[in-house]
Amino acid sequence: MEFLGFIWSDLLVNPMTNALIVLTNGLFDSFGLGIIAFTLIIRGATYPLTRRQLRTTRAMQEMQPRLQEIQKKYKDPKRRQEEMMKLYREVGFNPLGCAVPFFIQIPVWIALFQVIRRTVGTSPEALLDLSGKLYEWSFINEAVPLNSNFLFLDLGNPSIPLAILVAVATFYQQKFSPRSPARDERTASMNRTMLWMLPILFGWFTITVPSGLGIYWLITSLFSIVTTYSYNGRPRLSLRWFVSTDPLPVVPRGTATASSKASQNQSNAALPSASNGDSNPVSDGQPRRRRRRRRRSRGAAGDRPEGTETSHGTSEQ
Amino acid sequence: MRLRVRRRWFNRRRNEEARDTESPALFSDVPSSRSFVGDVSRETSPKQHPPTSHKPAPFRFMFHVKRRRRIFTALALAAIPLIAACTSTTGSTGWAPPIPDIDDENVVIIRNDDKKISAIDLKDQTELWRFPGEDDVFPGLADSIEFKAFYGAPVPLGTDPEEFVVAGEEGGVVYAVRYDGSSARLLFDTEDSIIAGLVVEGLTIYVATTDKNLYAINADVPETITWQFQAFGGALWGTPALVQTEAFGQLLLVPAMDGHIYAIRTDPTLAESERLAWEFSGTNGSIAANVHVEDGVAYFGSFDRHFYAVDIETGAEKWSANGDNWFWSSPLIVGDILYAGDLEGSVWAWNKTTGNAAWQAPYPAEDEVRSRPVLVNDGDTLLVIAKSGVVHAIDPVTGLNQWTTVPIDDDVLADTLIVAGRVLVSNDDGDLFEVLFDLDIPTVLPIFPPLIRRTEQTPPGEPRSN
Repeated sequence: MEFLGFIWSDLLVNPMTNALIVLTNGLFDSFGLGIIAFTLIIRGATYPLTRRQLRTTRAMQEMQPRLQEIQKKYKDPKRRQEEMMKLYREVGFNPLGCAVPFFIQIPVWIALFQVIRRTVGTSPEALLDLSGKLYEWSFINEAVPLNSNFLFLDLGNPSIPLAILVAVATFYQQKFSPRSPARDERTASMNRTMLWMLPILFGWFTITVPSGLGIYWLITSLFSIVTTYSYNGRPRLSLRWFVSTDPLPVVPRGTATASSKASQNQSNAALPSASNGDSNPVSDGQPRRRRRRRRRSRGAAGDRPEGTETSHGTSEQ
Repeated sequence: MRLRVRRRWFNRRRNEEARDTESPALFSDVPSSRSFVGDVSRETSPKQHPPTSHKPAPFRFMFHVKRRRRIFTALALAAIPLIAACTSTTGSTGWAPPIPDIDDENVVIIRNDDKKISAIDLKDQTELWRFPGEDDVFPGLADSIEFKAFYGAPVPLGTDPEEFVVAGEEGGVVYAVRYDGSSARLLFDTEDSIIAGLVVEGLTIYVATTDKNLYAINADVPETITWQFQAFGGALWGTPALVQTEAFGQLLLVPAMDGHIYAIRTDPTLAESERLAWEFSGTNGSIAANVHVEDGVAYFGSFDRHFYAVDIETGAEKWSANGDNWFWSSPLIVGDILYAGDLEGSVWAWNKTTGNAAWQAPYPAEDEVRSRPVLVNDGDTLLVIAKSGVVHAIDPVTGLNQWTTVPIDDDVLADTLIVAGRVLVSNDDGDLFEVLFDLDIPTVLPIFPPLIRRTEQTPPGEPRSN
């Protein structure tokens, strides 16, 4: 237990606390900027895990039609399970792939939350508690207590406008998050409820805690929106989408090779398409970046016909 | 160079995308736009699939949908208390020390566990009254009151005190409460929070707030500001000290969180621009500790891990000494020696004139020391109570340990009170303890709430009735 305490305090929370104060010092003694920069750095550092999580979620999302098909096709639970396992293995999907990065990130988020709460120093007790976490470097000790004024906010006190911003950002974070298509009406209803409940919950939390933590939640949500949007191929979004409860349109990453594509087409002929019924506003179902790249490669390859053997021994379509 | 970097980025990106799409089965309906170098090796055909039934797959148990749901539900439920524990906030409790009643030495006024003020009879170990009372109301006050925390000690009001003044942190309202608990009156509402202790001279009360304001109010003219000073550079958390100087007359030495000590002239006839007598800016850290004045010198510690001695006539530094961490405790001066503890748990002894160390090494109390040291046992023992609640008895001459007690329940941050030869300690919960140091094994005894309720006590010689 002591060892865990050492890891938690001395290897995670204390270094983060000092780093936040150093950042604040470097950013014009603005605690608000310090929190923003610190949140972005931590989220950036854990991005590989987030990316893995996104990848797994997306794979799960795109696998849903085939899973549904298996569930419909096989009534025997054992047989159904075998088929599902077969499918998972076939596509290289690990059910833990989504949960493990999430659970690894939880301690980091909690530590970040604790660090910000502690450094805000809303009460003398909190500030006294902070004294034991700081390194001996004079410039760190001299910087405390941090200047809690940032824009229109007192970071040590709750703010209603910030709570509204956090609620809105959480709403869009939910909208941007990849969601598996609902299997039934009950799940769909739960999804819709969550879309509204979480923003209200986070907004309420923000009203009850110092604004410094609200800033953290706001930046986290915005970071999550940007990464999810970027990862999902940056689909074009209409103004109508922003005011609807529709999830983020899925931009498929179609890069199958010819032979595998053929075999998959054969095996999936009966399955509903991953893009069927998808309200993807992108005209040809491909993200802009890929289209740009394709234009570039076309330009480089000239009028090379499809399937021509290249110097690398593969064909380019 | 730039091209190479771009190419590297492109290759990396390409590999990532290839990894992302390593299962073409997922995208079989999507028209393939391109293929990458090396994709041949990743091609998946039915022939290449490993046998499904012979080799157990890793995390096979996870594939069972119902079991997976249960596992994730269990993990989520386990995570809730973990997250709640890790994100719990440090609540404000305050550290107002107990004070003795003016008329009865067996009665003390303490901050209780309900964030209220209580009068405790030490003999009977009973509560005489509490402020505010039931439903947060009190005789003499029109509105109900709710306190968040008390940091400053209650202070007797007037030359022949019948009342004491007290201010709660949140709301920053100053009240005068009668010692017998019969009534109270509202003196002033600062509309800010008050962490610093109140300073009283006769009927004049000086109130320092966290919003960088210093108010002088008169107890006879409630809700009226006599004068005000607002030119502080930081919040005011430390209790100011009232001193008499030859050069400026009466001064109020105000410690501020901007690391300055402001010497404010208290003459009510002066304009605000004439109030600042001098300003000490020699520290590099905030000053949250109280200022202690003796023999024309102001002593205080700072967050820059230094302890300072400053001439009250000029504001010039006389000496400074290094500590191991922030200083937040008030010092104790006995003879030529000044004792102070820091938040690293080191207790220091310096010569009050020169600042030279009086002990070979600081005493290690091993936890933050916010409580002011006290001298007991006819000056033979220095008692220091660490935040952990451990009472350390130290030889005041050598700085060596005499004995220690087991920790008091909960943190101890309040200053210790010595009344009628009894050493009283109040913890964060507002419980009152007595340090019994003249026993064979020094110990700490709960006073209020008592260990055994008086109604349950059995007179000696009589059997307990069940």
